Amino acid sequence: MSDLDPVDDVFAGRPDTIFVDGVGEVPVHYVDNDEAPLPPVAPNDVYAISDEVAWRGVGDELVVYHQRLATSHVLDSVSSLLWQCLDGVGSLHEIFVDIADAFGQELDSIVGDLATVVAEWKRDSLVVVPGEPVALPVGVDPVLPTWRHLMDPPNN
Amino acid sequence: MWPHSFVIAVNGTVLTIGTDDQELMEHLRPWVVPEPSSLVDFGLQAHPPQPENRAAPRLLPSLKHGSDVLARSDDVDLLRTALLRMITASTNPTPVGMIRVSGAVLERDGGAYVVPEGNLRSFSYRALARQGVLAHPGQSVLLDASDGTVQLDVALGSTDSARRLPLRAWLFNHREPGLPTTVGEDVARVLGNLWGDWHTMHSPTQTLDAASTLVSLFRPRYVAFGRESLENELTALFGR
Repeated sequence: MSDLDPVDDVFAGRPDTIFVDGVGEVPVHYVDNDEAPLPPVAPNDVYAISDEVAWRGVGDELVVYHQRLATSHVLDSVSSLLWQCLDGVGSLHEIFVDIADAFGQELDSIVGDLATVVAEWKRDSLVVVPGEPVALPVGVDPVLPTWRHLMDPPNN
Repeated sequence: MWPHSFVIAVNGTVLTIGTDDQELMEHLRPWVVPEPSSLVDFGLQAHPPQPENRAAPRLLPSLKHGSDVLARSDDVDLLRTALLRMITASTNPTPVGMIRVSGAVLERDGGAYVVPEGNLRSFSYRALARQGVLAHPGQSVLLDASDGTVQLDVALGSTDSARRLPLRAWLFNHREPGLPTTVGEDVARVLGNLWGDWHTMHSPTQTLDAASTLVSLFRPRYVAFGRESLENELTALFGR
């Protein structure tokens, strides 16, 4: 168990070990299951929309779909504008300044939110740094195998 | 344990079948390959062992995915056909202009209603039939965006052409089905309910376009998990 004050320790009161038949007492390690931390983004960073992503305007929103990762996202009008500015040429600072001008806002008042959105897109592999190879998640085979096995059936 | 389990290869995909049904074994013999069988993907138990106490409820034949029971029915032909359709669904790429979503088809008055397969598992197919509803057990449904139809998968080995039914409604599970949604959110939710792995799909752009087109034709509806939620939806759709 951690050394945290019990009040702050969300795992307080849970057992340190459990008994497993045929094995005996085994220690239990508790971990937080938060979303992956956001990667850093910097003002001079340049991003482009990933080639693996499809996107389309639906009403006044934008739907973004990453087929290999089976994820879909809905962007509101401001996020949609930011999305379409990621052309692989302009830096984040240049784009944020343009958006602040367009909405008549101070750059300082919006830069945090916009940077967070870009960091989320980077974490979710929706945007990439131009020229950088796309890293496949562990376990994803880039080549279609000759024999494709179905995923394990449930509860076996 | 299954009395018989064997491996079949269809369109470059191998899967393990378990069954006690001689007719199914004979039907699948052309696709059997000499591979060691592993965990059973799909199973048909046509002759479940019955309890010795004759007053105890009789067990119905069942269609399984792993150890999950997808459907129980005394109509073994229906379950056998469903299994052969599921093999087709698992081993064929999604045609251009179509998407394959998770769910099962209920057929009524010549139209198709796509419902969450999990909600349907404990339904009595005989009770549905009394309401004029024909259930097609399965895990996924092929939808054609060009005309808003459902294409029923052809059973493996059948020479029949695929039947098409106009889509009347499609329902997906959601924890909060009553929350209002935008069209964009509906498209995203449909994409979240695509069935199969990305190898068998077309380009993401084609998939997104097909999903958007279908949502523009029919906004999906949402239903909470569990049998009762679907019963309420079907009552709203079909009446009592």
